[in-house]
Amino acid sequence: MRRATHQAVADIAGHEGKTAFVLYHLSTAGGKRVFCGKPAPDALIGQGGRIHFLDGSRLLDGSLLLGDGAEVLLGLHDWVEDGGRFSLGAFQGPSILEAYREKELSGLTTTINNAPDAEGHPRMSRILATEPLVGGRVDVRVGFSGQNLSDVLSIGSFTIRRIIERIDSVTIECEGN
Amino acid sequence: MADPTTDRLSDPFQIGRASRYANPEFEDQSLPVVYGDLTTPSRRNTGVYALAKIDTADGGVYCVAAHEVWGAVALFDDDGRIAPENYTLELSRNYQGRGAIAAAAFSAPPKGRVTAVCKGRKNESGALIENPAEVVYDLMTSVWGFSEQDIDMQSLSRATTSAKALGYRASGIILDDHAPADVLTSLLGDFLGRYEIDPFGRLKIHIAGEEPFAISPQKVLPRFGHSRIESEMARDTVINQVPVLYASDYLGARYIKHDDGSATQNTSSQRLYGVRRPPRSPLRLEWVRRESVAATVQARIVKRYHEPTRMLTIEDGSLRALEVEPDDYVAFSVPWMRSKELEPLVNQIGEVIEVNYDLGEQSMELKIRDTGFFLTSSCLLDGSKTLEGGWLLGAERDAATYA
Repeated sequence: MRRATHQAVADIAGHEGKTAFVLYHLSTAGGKRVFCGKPAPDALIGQGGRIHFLDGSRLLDGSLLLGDGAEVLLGLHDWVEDGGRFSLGAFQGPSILEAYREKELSGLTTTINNAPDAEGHPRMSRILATEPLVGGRVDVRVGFSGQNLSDVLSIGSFTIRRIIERIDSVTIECEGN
Repeated sequence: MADPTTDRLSDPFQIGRASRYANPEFEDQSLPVVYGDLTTPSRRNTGVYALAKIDTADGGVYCVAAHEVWGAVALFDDDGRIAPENYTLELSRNYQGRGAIAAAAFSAPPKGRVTAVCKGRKNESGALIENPAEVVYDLMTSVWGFSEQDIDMQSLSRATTSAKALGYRASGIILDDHAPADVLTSLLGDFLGRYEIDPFGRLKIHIAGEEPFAISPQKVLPRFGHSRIESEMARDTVINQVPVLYASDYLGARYIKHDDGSATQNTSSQRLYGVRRPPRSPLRLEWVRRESVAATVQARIVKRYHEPTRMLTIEDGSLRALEVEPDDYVAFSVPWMRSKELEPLVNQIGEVIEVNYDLGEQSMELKIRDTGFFLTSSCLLDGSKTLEGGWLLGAERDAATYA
């Protein structure tokens, strides 16, 4: 069983509609980009470090080290067209014994929309031109609106093996670690 | 958090070769990594693996193992067992400054190929590493270059305990370049174990322990009212006899021992379903050398699979079981199905075999093995029940709705 906060367990149990936010954290040497299918609340984004919202709840009196443990977030993009699918514990039938004797590391293939940006250039192509994604890492997380960062559940981790770039979409093929 | 820049389990691992030394006989000869007790010779007067000659000066220096070994070393050449006075054995020698190995230096050249039997790597307290989970830990941290942070220590501890309780002992040699994932599959698979990479990139291993009569499910699955649920029972899942080959002979690329599984077969199952053996029978147990361990593996497979397994596939159009992972025990309810006692299948206990995520549709598919056990209700002996035979104390199915 995955380790999850009480809030996360409650949200999962009460989950009926398609309200979950599936977040794809792409980590490369240049930093991290988070992709998702729809705009995600800021509270669900991040990985390490603490986030302090400057909303009047904190005094900047030196007691806080802003950005402590934080990572470089290069962008948050709601451009995911197809989130893909993956398996855990995959086995080849018919015998369950094969689950122990034959191992298949599941991969993940996601498709990102490559629509033109404000300057008319395909937006994902602009990123690919400057950031080497191949060899980077994709962490898949799921959160629900109203949660905070600690409630976001990690469900998979992959390594980017291949990028297929087209004028309208970019396909990211990943393999299990 | 595991470092994404480290090697991954599917990347090939290059084994050490004789070329690292100044004056080897053949540079391509690999330096063996040895685990467990390999003291039984493969044939009369022959060791179980060949040694690389890493220095041709004088009578020659041979690498017994690419690391320090526990001991019990015996060497053989074409004339049979070599008298110990003919060579100087060092169980830990930093040869030519290239790290500690076990080496044997001969004063006069032995005749032909030199082979060996020995006991392999030892842990920090000096004990022989034999527990399969301990072998995994040692391979990860001492051979393949991963750190403890790359391992889920909780799952490792559980696997160690399971393996110890079942008397599992692993013995084997790694002689070739390999992907760690392949070795893990082979090693753990021999002991009904497997591994996953968790969402934090850590290795998580599992060795299926005994299924106790008191399973505590980790989660009660929600009732999947509108989900597609199907159950499958196939004769192909039955295994009632397990022939095995074990005790690998690394010289001849074959196995020394065979057992047809008749001692551990289930004859009742065979009368009902015929003799059912595993796919690709006989099983090749590369990491098993002891007869008792082979018999335990055979018996456990038969015990687990001598009846057709009811496998449930639950396709749920939501993510309501998101925290469930393979190997979890869960309680599930499919009231329209029936148990052997014709009760609605409520609060039945299953083992999660596979989890499939469709992130685009935000749905999940679970494959669950029905264990046959279920949550039971308990009653207080407070005078509210009469013991006139109307109750199965401790065996009444709990029909309460928990999720």
